[in-house]
Amino acid sequence: MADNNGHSSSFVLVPNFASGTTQIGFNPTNASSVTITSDAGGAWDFSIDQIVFNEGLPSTIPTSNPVPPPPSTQTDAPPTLVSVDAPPAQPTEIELQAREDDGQRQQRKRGRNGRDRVQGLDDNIAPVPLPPGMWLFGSALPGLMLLRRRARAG
Amino acid sequence: MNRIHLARSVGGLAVALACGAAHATVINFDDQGLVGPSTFAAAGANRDLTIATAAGNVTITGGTVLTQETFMPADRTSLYGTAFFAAPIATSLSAPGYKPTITLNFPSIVNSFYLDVYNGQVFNVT
Repeated sequence: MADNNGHSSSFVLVPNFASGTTQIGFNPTNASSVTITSDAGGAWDFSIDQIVFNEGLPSTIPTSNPVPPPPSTQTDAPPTLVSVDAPPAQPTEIELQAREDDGQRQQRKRGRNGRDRVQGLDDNIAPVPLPPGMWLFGSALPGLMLLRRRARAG
Repeated sequence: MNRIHLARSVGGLAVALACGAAHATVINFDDQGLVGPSTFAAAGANRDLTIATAAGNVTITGGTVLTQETFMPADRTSLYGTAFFAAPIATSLSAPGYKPTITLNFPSIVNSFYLDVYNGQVFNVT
């Protein structure tokens, strides 16, 4: 039995000549569609009756534990806190919080590759990128050499 | 004067809450006047239902209505059932065949839901 809000539960139906009736349900569902599926493989054979909704479950219903809906898959979900080049034993979030409370001012800065970098914790220093002028000059240098060679040839 | 005003306020609040509360609804196929044969073979193609309730129309798909269903001693009234041996192949768009799943669609979100399920097999089924 499942609904379109992520809940699902399984119930055992006794054989038809051994009462054959089982009352099943969800509470609450907050769903607009419910499906009842037989898990008897290719031999499904069942019927339903006495459908009740928007009313609390009676105590006679077996207490199945509806599976809560899975967390929504957010594409922009924040990544887990991972320290780059960190040793195997990582401090937990609680430990980090405790260190902050001790006066260690931690600055969490998003690093490259979508990871979070923890600065000030293990003295990791982010690599300093080359200035853009260096790349421009490096690419212009061969051009300048070529122009000078042509000028000499001319 | 204040008492009358207070009583009116409480009464109005009660009416508002009653109007806003979700309707508790019971669908019983016999009460809907739905009857059918006692076997899937006699029922032929599957039959989708649209049942008007206080909360709106509820649709039930995947099976058909049977009354005094054979090999179903637990309930001799009208039931909505499906079975693997009952014309699982679609015969038309309105009768897409019996499914291993019975689907109930409600007109709006429901806060709780339960029903009776009857096993047509002679063994335990989940």
